Amino acid sequence: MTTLPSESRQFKQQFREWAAQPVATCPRTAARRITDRVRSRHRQLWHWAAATAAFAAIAVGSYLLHPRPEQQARHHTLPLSQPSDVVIDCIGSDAQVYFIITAPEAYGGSSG
Amino acid sequence: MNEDSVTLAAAARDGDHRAFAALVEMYWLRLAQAARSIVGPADADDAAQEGLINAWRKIKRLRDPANFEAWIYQIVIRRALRGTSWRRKFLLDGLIRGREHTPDPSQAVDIWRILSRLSPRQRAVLHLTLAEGMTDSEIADILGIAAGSVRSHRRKALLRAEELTREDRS
Repeated sequence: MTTLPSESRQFKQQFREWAAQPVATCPRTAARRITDRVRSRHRQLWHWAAATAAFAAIAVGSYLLHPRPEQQARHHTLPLSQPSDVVIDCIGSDAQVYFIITAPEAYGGSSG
Repeated sequence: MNEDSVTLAAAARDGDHRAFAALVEMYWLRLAQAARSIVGPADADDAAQEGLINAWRKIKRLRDPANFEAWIYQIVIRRALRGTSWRRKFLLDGLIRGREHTPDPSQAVDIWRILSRLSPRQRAVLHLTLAEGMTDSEIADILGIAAGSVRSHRRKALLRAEELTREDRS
């Protein structure tokens, strides 16, 4: 079926009229909405950056404050000439050393 | 593009929100009308708005403020085209179209009913040619296709539109 030139012209004309109709939102409202959204996005980015920085600070702080493996308490049981008498435990870090002396009763043994 | 909009585009590129808002006011109607021809009356404002927000994010990349008009058209129209491909991908187009569209009784032919049966790119070419009066090379730049493809899209779109207009009448 061939197209009549008048049909083509008519469609073009009607399309132009349809396309030129006003849109739902007026330019001022559109500009305000867009600016508000752009600004709120800026705020969101700042909040996100602040939250990330706080999280990073907590992570770094907890790493620095947490004792490193070489500083962690070491536990030794000292050899004794008479092991049935007492057990001396040595617990401590580089800075401080604690001795824990346990009487044999604690193990259910008998003291000499 | 007038001198005012070139100055505003340069200020907006430097981060001035108010200059960008003034540009939006200046171009809103034409951009929303172009978006309407691509995505339909129900989604036109949202599509244009999304495109303009996208433009603000990219404004630092605007090389020549004198070229702002072509640049903003490119962003808004490509955003509208992506929006329609998303809808088609999730098979919502038919459902949404059926729900949202009420024909305008004042029109002899229901233009959107006809346009909705063309491809989004054909609709964009028709709008930029018939409503904006752009040349093939301007349209090609906006859509990122060859000028020959613009002519081909227009020819096919017009043939199909005429066919559908006849169907509408009979």
